[in-house]
Amino acid sequence: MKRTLIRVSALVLLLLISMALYYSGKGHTLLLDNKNIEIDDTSYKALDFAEVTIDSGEEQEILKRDRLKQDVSGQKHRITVVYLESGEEQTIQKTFKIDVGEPIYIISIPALIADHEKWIQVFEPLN
Amino acid sequence: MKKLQMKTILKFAENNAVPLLFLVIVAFGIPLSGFSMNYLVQEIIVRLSRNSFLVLALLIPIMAGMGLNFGMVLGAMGGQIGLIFITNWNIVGLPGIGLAMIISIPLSIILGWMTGKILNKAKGREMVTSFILAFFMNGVYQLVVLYGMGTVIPISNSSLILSRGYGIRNTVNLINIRQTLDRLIPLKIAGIQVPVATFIVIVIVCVFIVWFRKTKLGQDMRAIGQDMGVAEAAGINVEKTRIIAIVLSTILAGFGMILYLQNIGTLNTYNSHEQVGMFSIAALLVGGASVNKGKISNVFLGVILFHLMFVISPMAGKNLIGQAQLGEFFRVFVSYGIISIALVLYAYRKLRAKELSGSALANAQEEK
Amino acid sequence: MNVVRKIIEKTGWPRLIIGLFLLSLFILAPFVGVKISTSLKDTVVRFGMNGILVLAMVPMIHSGCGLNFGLPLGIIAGLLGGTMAMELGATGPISFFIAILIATPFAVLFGWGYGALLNRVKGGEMMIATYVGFSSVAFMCMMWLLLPYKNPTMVWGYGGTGLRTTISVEGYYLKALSNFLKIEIGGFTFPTGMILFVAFLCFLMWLFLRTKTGTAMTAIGSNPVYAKASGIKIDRIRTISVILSTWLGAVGILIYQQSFGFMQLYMGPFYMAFPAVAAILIGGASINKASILNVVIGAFLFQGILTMTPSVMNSIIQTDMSEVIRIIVSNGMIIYALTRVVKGARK
Repeated sequence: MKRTLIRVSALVLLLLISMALYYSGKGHTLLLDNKNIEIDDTSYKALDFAEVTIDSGEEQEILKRDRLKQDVSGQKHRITVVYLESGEEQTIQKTFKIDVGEPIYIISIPALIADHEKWIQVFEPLN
Repeated sequence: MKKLQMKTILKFAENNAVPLLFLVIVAFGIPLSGFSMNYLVQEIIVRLSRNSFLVLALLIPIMAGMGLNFGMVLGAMGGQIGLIFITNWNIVGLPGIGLAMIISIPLSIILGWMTGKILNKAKGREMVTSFILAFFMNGVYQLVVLYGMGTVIPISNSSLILSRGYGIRNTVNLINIRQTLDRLIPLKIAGIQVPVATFIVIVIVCVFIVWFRKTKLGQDMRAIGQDMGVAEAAGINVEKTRIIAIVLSTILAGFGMILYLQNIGTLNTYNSHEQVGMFSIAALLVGGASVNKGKISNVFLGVILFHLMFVISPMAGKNLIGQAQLGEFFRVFVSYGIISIALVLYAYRKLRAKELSGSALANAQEEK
Repeated sequence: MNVVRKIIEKTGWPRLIIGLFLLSLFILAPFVGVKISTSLKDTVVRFGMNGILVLAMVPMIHSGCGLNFGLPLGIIAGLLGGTMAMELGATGPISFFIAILIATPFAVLFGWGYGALLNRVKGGEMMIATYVGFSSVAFMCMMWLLLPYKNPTMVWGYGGTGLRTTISVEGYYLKALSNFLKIEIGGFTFPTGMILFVAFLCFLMWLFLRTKTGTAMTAIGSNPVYAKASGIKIDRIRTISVILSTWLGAVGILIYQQSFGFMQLYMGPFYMAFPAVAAILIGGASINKASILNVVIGAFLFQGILTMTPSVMNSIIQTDMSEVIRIIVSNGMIIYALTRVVKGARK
């Protein structure tokens, strides 16, 4: 009885660990876009220049009409954008969760700054 | 006094003939190859981190008197299947390695259990049986990976699949986990990269093996290795213990294969596992182990000597007679030759011991 | 019911499955558009090619040395004979017999050494035999590079030293036996000479097993204790059996080449023992008992499977699974034989 209990709990533990590993290790690709974009009839203008940081990674410069690719693992992330608004440096930081089943997400920097809720979307490749 | 010293030296030479022979080969080969010391040290460190784990997997069956476990290839297959899955799911970094290891465990248990069952039916012929079993399971592995994956087993990542629509490609790029463990704790001494984290893992396994020897199960295995009949009479469940020995070895071999491949960075789906068994066994034997005796020190000495030979022989062959191919053939020959010698010595000593005990028994009976 | 069970037990499950598999292949063949006649002809040719390599298993099984995984050693003797015959400039069918003649001393020498080794490692023969085979192949890889062969058809064009990996035997002993008394049936050449030669060697082996030495050999294999008690010089007889096996391996590879058309050096002989071992086991032999009938049945069944699987499988599922099936069938059969308890023999 005790033996079975130990065995079952070991098995459950192993399963939990593998679940944790699966979620934390799942790789996703984030596409960072700095382009003019139109969401729900509102258009957002691309920034001339911004610096983007995902989690505690390196700072990346993004120019107008640029698209950066960033590979991440796990589902919870933080994005930090530093940009110039009327000559002053502004910093905006957001944390977000993505779905484990979606491999690629696209993030629109202009929409993010404008705080539109659809600033991050699942990327659907054109077929 | 001097005579005694001579005797001990001779005895030492006799007991360590194989490592000494290799030392001589390597000592001649290094200057011939023309490699710099720095390069060789770096190579040795890489190969120690890459291969030691696999070689360590061989120790437990030796302890249980089951000889060299050629069936470790089955564990390697399990590890590879784990790697194929995590690459398919795109699990990156350390979690990927961990998950691949966890996936390999049930596979290794099933394969190891099966090997143990079969070897129990072929007592006294364990090595040749496990050797053929590795070939047999290679067929089954191909059946699963080449025909089953993408048809019965869903594989969503199209870059893994052959152009015909099913079956895994010949090479799988392990970029997701490539050297993540090796580079976890970076350390550079005098321009030489040291994969600290991998060595920590290897040390943990060594500690595990040392500890395992002292447990009840480990003691039982050693008793079986000494004499199966006596162990049976002492109430040890011989068959079950032998199966456990093989299962443990298979699991360790699976882990070892994952560490080996994370260092290399690409998986040759249909070849990577094939040679792993032979090279690991040859390395262990070069380190001075034999079919019934294997220590942890044999593992490290063996990996160093064997792989030094491996690194230098093509260049040495080229510089010696102008053909690198000769050096390559030479190292293949040495790998097989060393296993042959170890097997012959073991069988010869066993037969001699048997004959001696037989004649002693006959003498004793005559005296009565 | 009991009778059926007894038959199953006697044949053994793997053999039964393999037999049924082959039978189903033959039944399926016409439905998927594979001509049985062509397959049968191919099977006959391949039977002739491989027959002697399978026969080479017999002496060592009889003398209790187990399955001869060290067959590559014999094959190397054959390769030496073949290459030297070509080097000496022997051409035409006669070069085949010259090759055998040259191979013989090598086979005897190798076999003698190999036998002496096996006599010192009784009980561990099979594993050691495997590795003797492997290491001798690896050793010869170096030798093929270094030996001073000069014949331009054999050495690499550039550099002029070292033998090629595959050497055509055209102009030498290509079809030396196969074309002897050949019978043409609708585009297919029945290799009468080769089959006759194989049958002749099988017959000689059958005779040999009935001589005094032959029966002594069988006695050692089936009951070593009894053999020792009756005054048989075990080591000597065992050595003879190993020499015989090695020589048959040498002749076997030459027969294989004269039909195949090429000799394969370097790693070519590496795995050649395994199909031969599997074939004789499929034919009903065990690790200490084998008859000529086992050789014939086994070689035929095994080669039948090898020829039928690709064509039939290809027609059914459009993929060639024959390689995988070959691996599973041959090694599965060997494992089965190894796990059988050997009755009456030394542990």
